[in-house]
Amino acid sequence: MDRPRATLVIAERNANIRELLRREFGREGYAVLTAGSGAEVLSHLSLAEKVDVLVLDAEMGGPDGSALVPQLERSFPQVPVVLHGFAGFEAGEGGVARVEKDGDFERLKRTVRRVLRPGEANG
Amino acid sequence: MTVVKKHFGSAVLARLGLRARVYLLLGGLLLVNMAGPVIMVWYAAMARDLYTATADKDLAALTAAHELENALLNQKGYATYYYLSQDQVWLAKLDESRRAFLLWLERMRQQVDAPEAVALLDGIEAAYKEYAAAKDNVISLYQQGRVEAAKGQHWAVREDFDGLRDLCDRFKEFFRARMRETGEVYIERTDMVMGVAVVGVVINATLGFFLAYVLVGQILDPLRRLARGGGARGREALAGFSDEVKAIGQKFSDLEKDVDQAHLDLEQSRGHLMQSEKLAMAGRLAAGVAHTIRNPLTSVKMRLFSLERGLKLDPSQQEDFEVIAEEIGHIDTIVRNFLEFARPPKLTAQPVSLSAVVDTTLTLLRHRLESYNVEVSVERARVLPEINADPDQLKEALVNLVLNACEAMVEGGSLTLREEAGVLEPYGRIVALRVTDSGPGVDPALFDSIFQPFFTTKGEGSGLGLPIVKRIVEEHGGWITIQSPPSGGAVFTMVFPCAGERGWHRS
Repeated sequence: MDRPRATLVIAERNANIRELLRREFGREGYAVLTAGSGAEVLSHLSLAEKVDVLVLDAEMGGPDGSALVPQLERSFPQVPVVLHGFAGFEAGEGGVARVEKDGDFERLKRTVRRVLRPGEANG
Repeated sequence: MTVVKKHFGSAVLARLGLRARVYLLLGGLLLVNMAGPVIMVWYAAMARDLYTATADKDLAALTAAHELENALLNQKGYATYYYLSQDQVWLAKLDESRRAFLLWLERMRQQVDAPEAVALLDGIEAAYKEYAAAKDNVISLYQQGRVEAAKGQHWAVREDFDGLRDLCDRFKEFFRARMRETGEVYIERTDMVMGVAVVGVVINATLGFFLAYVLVGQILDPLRRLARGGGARGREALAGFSDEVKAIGQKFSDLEKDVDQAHLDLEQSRGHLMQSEKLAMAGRLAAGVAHTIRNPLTSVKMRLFSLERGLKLDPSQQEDFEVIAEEIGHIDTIVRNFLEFARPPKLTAQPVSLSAVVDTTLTLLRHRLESYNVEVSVERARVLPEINADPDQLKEALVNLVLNACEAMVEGGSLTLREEAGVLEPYGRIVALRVTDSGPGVDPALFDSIFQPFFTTKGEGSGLGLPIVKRIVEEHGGWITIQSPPSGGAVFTMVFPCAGERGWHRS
């Protein structure tokens, strides 16, 4: 890790999943902020020094889940968003990376790495 | 003028109801037809009255007046004959005539009622008394032999006689005038009755015309139209009946039958609707439950994934772990399938060939098919024409169909995908995909059930695989059929009309 630590905000409603992701991404060397609600996400994004990636539970921010994404894109266009949701979930616009939420969190890790360093191949 | 009248009549008629119009016209006709005879009866009575009461009386009076005059005339001769022949016979005859005169006079008094006639009669009687007295005087002079004096008085009596006769003539003339008058009254009344009769005929004809107009224009023609209406069926119904009313009766009984049938159908579909509403509600509830279950299930899956990396397990522990992972995967599949099934239809259509869908699906399932030990062969004469469809949905349907077949063939087997294109009326051009497996086949009694949600013959099935296939096919305007020959195996055929895209551009 010669480069400065990247900061992630992990937004997830389920506390167990949230803590697992905090642990897993912490192990990878990221600085991790967690949020259990849309309001927390917004407060982290406004207050934190820098946020490199937002991992967003697709169902967060209301029952339709999609209300938060356009708002984030308007207020924090510099923060890339990885949408973590169930298959068939079609929230969000074209500019957002999507990862299917199943048991395999390695896939989420790969996507976050790719978002942080575009141009680098998956892996 | 008549046109204006007719229009006015029509306008008045139009303001009334049909029933009121018919009643009014019928009432009018009845009234006119009753009034006619009443007037005739009245006229006949009047005519009889005129004859019996007035004309007969007058005629009798006139006749009596004649007789009276005759009696008078007779008296005139007898005195002269007596003077010439000196015979007493003439005097007796004179007495007879005098009695006859007085008798007629008495009779006339009884018959005559008009004051003028009575006054005339009084005059006649008075003059006669005078005349008779003068005559008696003359006769007595003759009897005494004073012929010269008698002759002089006889001339004077003659003048009296002329006056009397004149009175009688006037009396007769009075009755003649009265008879003329009666005749005039009679003619006048006859003219009036004729006028009334002419007016009655005109009114009758007018009312009859309007009644006919109402009957034809507003009852018979509409009846005919009603009988003829309703397209070919109506004409057919009319053909058998010369009478429109019968035809309409027939039509009404047909209609009643139709209404009863429609009522039955309505009841049935109401029942179906209630059933499907209940199902829809249960479906929404179940979808909500499935959606809620999914979240903790994902958490469990993640923890298992994490656990798997660090655990050092002995073989039996390893087996336990794998079963847990497998069953959790199974639950996940059920939940995912259910949510897929409950998902509202959302298609993104694009031109796609079913052959391309077959190729991608088989590529996707290559490893699964190998693990099921299933040989797949594709029968393709040439690439199927493109239809407007959602390729992801078609792929999902085909995956479900292929996996269903694989699970049915427990020991492995062979799977044939046969692509077909053709024309099927009334759908026009169609494309079809026939999936034939070498499994045990399906009991024909279950043909309907296997497409019902949650029906499964497999211990591990979600009961949603084939319902998802059926739903996706139907969303594309197609249908799916199943055949199971006694020789074994099952054949599922998905059929898509090429024109089906028109149907679901809307969704």
